[in-house]
Amino acid sequence: MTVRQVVDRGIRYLLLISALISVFIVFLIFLFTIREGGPAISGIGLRIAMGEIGYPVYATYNRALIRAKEGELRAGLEEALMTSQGKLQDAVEKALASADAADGRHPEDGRYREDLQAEIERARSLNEDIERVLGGESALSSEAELREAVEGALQQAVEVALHDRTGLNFPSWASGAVQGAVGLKAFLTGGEWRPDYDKLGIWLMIVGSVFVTFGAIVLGVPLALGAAIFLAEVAPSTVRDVVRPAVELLAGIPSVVYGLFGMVVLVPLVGKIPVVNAQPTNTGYGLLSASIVLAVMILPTITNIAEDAIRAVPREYKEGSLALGATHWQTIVSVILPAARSGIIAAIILGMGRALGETMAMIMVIGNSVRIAQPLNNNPLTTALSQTRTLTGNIAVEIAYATGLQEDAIFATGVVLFVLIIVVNSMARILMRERAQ
Amino acid sequence: MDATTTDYEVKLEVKDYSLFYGDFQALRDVDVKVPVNQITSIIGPSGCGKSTFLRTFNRMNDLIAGVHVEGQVYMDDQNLFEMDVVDLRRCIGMVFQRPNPFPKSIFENVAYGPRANGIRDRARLGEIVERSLRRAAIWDEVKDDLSKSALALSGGQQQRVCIARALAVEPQIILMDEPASALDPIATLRIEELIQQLKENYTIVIVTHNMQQAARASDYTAFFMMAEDRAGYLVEFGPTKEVFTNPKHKQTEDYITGRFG
Amino acid sequence: MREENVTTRDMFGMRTQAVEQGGVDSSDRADLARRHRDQKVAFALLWLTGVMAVTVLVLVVGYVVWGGAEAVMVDFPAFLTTDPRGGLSAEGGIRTTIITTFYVVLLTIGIATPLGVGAAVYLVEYAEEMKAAGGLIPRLVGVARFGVETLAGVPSIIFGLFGYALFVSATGLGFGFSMLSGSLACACLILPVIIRASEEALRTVPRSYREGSLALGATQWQTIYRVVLPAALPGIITGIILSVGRVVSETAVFYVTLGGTHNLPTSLKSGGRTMAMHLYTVAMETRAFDKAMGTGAVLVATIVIINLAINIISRRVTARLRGR
Repeated sequence: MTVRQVVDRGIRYLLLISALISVFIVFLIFLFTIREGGPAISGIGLRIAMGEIGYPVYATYNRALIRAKEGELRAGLEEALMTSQGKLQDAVEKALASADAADGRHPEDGRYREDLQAEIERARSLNEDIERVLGGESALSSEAELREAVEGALQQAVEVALHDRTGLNFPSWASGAVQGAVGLKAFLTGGEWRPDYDKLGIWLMIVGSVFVTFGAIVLGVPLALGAAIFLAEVAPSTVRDVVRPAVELLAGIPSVVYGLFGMVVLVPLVGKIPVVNAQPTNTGYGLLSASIVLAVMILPTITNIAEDAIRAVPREYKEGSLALGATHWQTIVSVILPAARSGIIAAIILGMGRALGETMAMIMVIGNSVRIAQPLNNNPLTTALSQTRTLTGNIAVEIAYATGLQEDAIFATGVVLFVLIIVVNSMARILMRERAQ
Repeated sequence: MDATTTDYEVKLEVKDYSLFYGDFQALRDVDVKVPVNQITSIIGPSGCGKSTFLRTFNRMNDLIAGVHVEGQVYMDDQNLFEMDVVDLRRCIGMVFQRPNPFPKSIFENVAYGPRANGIRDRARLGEIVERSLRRAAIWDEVKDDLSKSALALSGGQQQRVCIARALAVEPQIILMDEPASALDPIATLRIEELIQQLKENYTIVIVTHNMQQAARASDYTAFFMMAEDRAGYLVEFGPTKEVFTNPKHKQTEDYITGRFG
Repeated sequence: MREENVTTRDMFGMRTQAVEQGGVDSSDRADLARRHRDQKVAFALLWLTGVMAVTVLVLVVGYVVWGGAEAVMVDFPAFLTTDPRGGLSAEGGIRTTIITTFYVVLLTIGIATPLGVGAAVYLVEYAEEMKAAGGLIPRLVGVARFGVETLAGVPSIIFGLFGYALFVSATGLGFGFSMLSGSLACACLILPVIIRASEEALRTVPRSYREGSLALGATQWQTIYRVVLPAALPGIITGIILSVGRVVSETAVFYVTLGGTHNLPTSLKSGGRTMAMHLYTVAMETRAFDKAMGTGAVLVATIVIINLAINIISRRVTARLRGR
C-alpha cells in the first residue's frame, strides 16, 4: 500500500471516531448522571428499609448522621454503639473505623486530627478488632466517601437485622436491589420534597412538568398549526415572504427573553385574576403563566416544521382534488392535511420536547414552590394559578446549594427527565415510522 | 354565438382566446369548436402550449400566479370564466399525465368527489364507486379489496382508478393530459380502449405527443405550433382522417410526416 | 343521458336532467353556496390565527427590545462598555458579559466544529461504501446515527448537569467553574446541530464532483478535502453560524458550569457570566428589569445579526446551485 493509501485509511478511522463521539457523549451523560444520582436512590431505599425494619436501627443511623453534621461523627456512632443491640455492634464498629479514617483525612475538620489521634489511641487500646480494621482501612478523602462508608457499614446492619427478622440470608446485592427498588419507588412517587427531613420525592415535579407541558401544547399547538396552514396555503406570497422569515428568526430568540417578558408583563396580569377565598393567594406566578410563556416559545418551532410538512405535500394531490370540484378549503382538510400528518405530528412532538426540557424561562414565572399543583379554592380550574415546581426547575433551583443526598437526588431528577425525553422522542419516531408505511 | 355553423353539435367553443403568463404570451388567438361526445386530440411539438390550452377548460391555469386571459370560452352557451369555478371543475373532469391517486384507499379515492359535493350516505357512495369503477373497466380487478391503498396498484391500474374518480362526479367533459405517457404499452392499450368506450357518454379532449395514438384513436384533431416568439397557436382543426391524410397546411403535413417535431 | 346498468336512482341523474334542460339543480346550488361559505369562514379564521401568532411573537420580543432600548441608548455606548457593578451586579453595564459570551462562543465552536464536521464527513462520504463492505462498520454507523439523534433531543439543563459532574466537579475532571467546563458542556449540546447541517451540506454536493475527482486518480480523502468540502462550505458555515446563535441564547448549560461571576475571565480556568446568564440573574435576583431588558435587547440584536448572516450565505448557496 502506498503512503497515500495509508494516510487515507488512517483518516477514515479518525473520522469514524469523531462520528462515534456523539454516542460516547450520550453514554457518558448516562454514566455520570447515574453515578451521581444512583446513591440518592440507594440512600433513600436504605433509609426506608431501616425505618421499616425497626426504629432502633433507623434511629441509630439518624443520630449518627445528625452528630456527623455537627462534626461529631465518632461521638454519634459511639452513642449508637452504646444504645444498640449486640447484633449491630459489629456493623457499627466498622462504621466507627471508617469514620476514624475519614475524620483523619477530612480537610475542613483540622481539629479532628488531634482529637482523633487521642480517640484512636483509646480505641486501639480498647479493642483488638478495631485495631485490625483500622490498620487495613484505606483513607477516605471526601465527605461523599465518608457517607458512603457509614452507609455501607449500616447497610450491613440492615442485612443483619433483616436476617434476624426473616431468617433469610440476603446477599448484599439482593438487599441492595430491594432497597434500590424501594428507593426508586419512593423517589418517583413521594409527594414531599423536604431535603432537611430526608424527604426526597419528585412526584409533584413530575406532575408539574406534565401539567405545564400539557398547558403549553393546548395553548400553543392550535395557534401554531393555524399559522402553519395559513402560511402554506392561504397567505399571498407577499405576506408569506415577510412572515416566514420573521417566524424563523423568532425561533432563535433566547428563551430567557420570553421569560423576562413573562416576569414583567404576564405575571402581574395573571395576578390580577380575582380568586375568591384563595389559599394561598394568586400571585401571578404559576402554571398558567408558565404555560403561556412556553406556548409562545414553542410557537415558532412548531409553525416552521408544520409549514414545511404541508408544503411538502405533492402538488398533484392538490390539483387532483381541485379538478374534481372540491373547494380549496375542502382540499386542505381532506387531502393536504392528512397527507402531511406525520410531519405535523413530528412538529408537535418536537414542541412538546422543547416545552418539557425548558428550564430558565420557565422557572422565571412558575413560582417554584414545593407543593403539588392544586386548586386555590373550591374551583378546580384555579389549579392553573397554583405555583409549583417542575423537574427541570428542581434541578436548576437546587443545584446551587445542594449537597450530599440532596445533590444526588438532583442528578437522579436529571436521569428521570432524560428518560422521559427519550420516551417522548421514541414515541415520535415510532409514530412516524408507522405513518411512513 | 358565432354565425358559422358546423355539421356537428358543439360542446365547447373557444373564441379569440389568448393566455399570458405575466408578459409572456403562451397562447395566441385560438378559435376552435369542440364536438360533443367525440374524442378530440390536441397534438403538436413540445412547448407549444397544448397542456396550457387543455387546462383552460377547467380553469386550472387560475392556480398559477400572474396568469391572465383574453377572449371567451363557452360550454353550452355558458361562459366558463363567468361560471363558479368550483362547479365548473365538477362538470369538467381531468385525468393527469402521471397517475395521482390520493394516499387513501381505492374506495376513498373514487368516493372523494361525490363526498366533496355533499353526498354522505354510505350506501349511495358505494353504488357510485362501483358504477364508476365499472365504467373505468377496473372493477373486476379491485372489487375484492376496495380498502386497499390506491398507491399499491400498478401504474396502469392507478390511472384507471383516477379515471373512475373523475367519472364519479358525473362530468360532461373529460380532459386528459397525455394519460398513457407514463404507462407501459399494454396498459396504454387498455386506456385507449377505455377512452373509446367512454366517448359514448362524455366529450373527451386529449392531449397527446404520440401521433399514432392520435391518428388511430381520436375523431377530431387540433394541431398546435409554436411561433417564433414562443406563443402557441392553432394551425389546423378538423376530422382526424382529413387532418392526417389531407392536411390543409404545409406545417401540419411536415409535422405529421415527421419532418420535424 | 348516461347508459345505466344500475336501476337505482342517481342523484346526479336528477341533476344531469336539469343540465340537459340548461339549468343547474337548485339543491346543488345550495350545497355549492354552503361550501363557498365554509371556505370563507375557515380562511377568515386562518387569517386570524396567522395574524395572532405573528402579533404575539412580535409583541413579546418587541416589548423587551423597546423596554431595553432605553437602558442601552442612555449615554450610548455606556451600557455596552462599562462593567457590571453594584452589590448584585445590577448596576453598570454589561461589558464583561459581552466579552465572556464572545470567548465562550469561540471556545465552544472551536471544540465542536472539527468533531462535528468530521463526523458528518464520515457519515456521508465513507459510511455508504463501508456499509457495502459489511461487518462491524455498518453496525457502528447505525450506532453513531442513533447517538446523534438522541443527543439532539437532550434538554440543555441535562448538559449542564452532565458538565457539572464531568468537568466541574472534583469527582470528575475537576476543572471547576470555568470557561473550559462551560465550553466543553456546550460543545456537546451543539454537536448535533453542526453534524446535521454539515451532513445536509455535504449531501447537496453533486455526485459528479466526487466521481470526477476519483476518476483522475485522487484518493477519497483528497477528493473530500479538495473538492467536496469546499463545495459544501457555505452550508457548513451556515450550520456553524446557527450554532453560534444557539450558544449565545443558551442559559441553562452555562448556569451550572460557568459559575456566574461578573468579572472578566482571565484564563480558561476562570469562570464568568454570559449575557443570557446576566439577564437571568439580574431579573431573578435583583428585579432590575430595566437592565435585564437592556441585556435582552442586546441579545435580540445579536440574534438578528446572526440570522441576517445566515440568510446572506444561504442566498449565495442557492444562487450558486442555480447558476450551475
